[in-house]
Amino acid sequence: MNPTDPPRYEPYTSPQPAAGSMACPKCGGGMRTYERNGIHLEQCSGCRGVFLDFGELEHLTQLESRFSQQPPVQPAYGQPGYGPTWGNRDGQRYRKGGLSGLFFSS
Amino acid sequence: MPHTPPPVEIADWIRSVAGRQDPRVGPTTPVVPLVTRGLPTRPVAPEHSQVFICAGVIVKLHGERTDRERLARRLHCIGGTDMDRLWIQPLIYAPITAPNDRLATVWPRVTVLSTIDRPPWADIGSLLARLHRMPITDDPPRLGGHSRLARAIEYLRSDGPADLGWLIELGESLAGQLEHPAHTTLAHGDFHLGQLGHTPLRRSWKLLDVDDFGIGDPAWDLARPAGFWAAGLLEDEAWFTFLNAYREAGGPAVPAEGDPWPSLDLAARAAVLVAAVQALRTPNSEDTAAPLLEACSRMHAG
Repeated sequence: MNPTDPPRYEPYTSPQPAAGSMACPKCGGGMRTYERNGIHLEQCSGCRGVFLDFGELEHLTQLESRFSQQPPVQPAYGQPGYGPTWGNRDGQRYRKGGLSGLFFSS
Repeated sequence: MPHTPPPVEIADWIRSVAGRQDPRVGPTTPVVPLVTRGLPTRPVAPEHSQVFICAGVIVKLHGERTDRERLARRLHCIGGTDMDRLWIQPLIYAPITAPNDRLATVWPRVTVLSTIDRPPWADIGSLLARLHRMPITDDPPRLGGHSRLARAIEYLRSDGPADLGWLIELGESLAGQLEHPAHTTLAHGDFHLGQLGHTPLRRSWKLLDVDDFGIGDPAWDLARPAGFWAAGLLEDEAWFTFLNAYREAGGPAVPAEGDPWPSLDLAARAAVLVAAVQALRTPNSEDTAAPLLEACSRMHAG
């Protein structure tokens, strides 16, 4: 190329998939397989798009809800009779609708 | 009827107040009494406040025993530095007087937590901890928890069932013990799940209702969840998520580690008693009243 020529516009091309691996459905680039927390995902080395296998989105959703509902750290103090003497923690039978009482001013 | 529409004179006045805040308000804009969905209705007594919605504005008519000067100090205090991160801010930072001589406060309409939502216990714990850690730079009045206990005892004396003399004794003993808290901070004073709201723009939960806000034992704000958990009305997961978040945010009502119960016990007992009396007064609340009264009877026996 003559150094005095103006720079030429180069259309973006994705890296080509290696033989036998998946091609990105969006840009045609090669996809690499990763494993994260038991989930297989393919990521395009060109456009960084991610492809999930069947059922893996549901799996992710479950992981997420498990994360957000992580059981709180149970206190070691006084277990299992922890709490006040006037409490009723043994039966573990929660009254339906008991929570609505927590919405009142008294 | 528990939640009747306001008289014409009051409705017109509410429209005029709301119209100064929200240009959408016109002469026919509805003035709607606020009824929290899914709750058993309760009769409106003169000492109760009433809340009305008019377009994007909430006008609260405070109960007839409300003290103007204390309410004014409370409104002023929640307008202080950084308090807007914790409290939904009023549209007018002072009480005004309604035509029926009730004091009124004016607020933006916000989204409130509904009884069908899963309560954001971790957010609630850290919100209360941050409030309790705020420096006391203003001159807020005393926390209102004591007056609620006093009102519950007063009701039991005047209108309560005859066989609940022991509950009056229990209430009086608790009131005496709660008179001199070990340490005091700023606190909400009447915290429950209906006291959370957020504006459409900022989706973080903030506190509503300044009526009992002030200086006192911060354990009062943890007392309802603590007491309901102890009485078997709140699941372990909710309680521990709340408590852990409160501790992680440095909340001063309980020690940072170890058994929190010694710091919570008195206020939780009072909250259970007050809630039991409230449930007794509310139609169709037998399911809530029974476990709360059972817990009270164990306190009385123990």
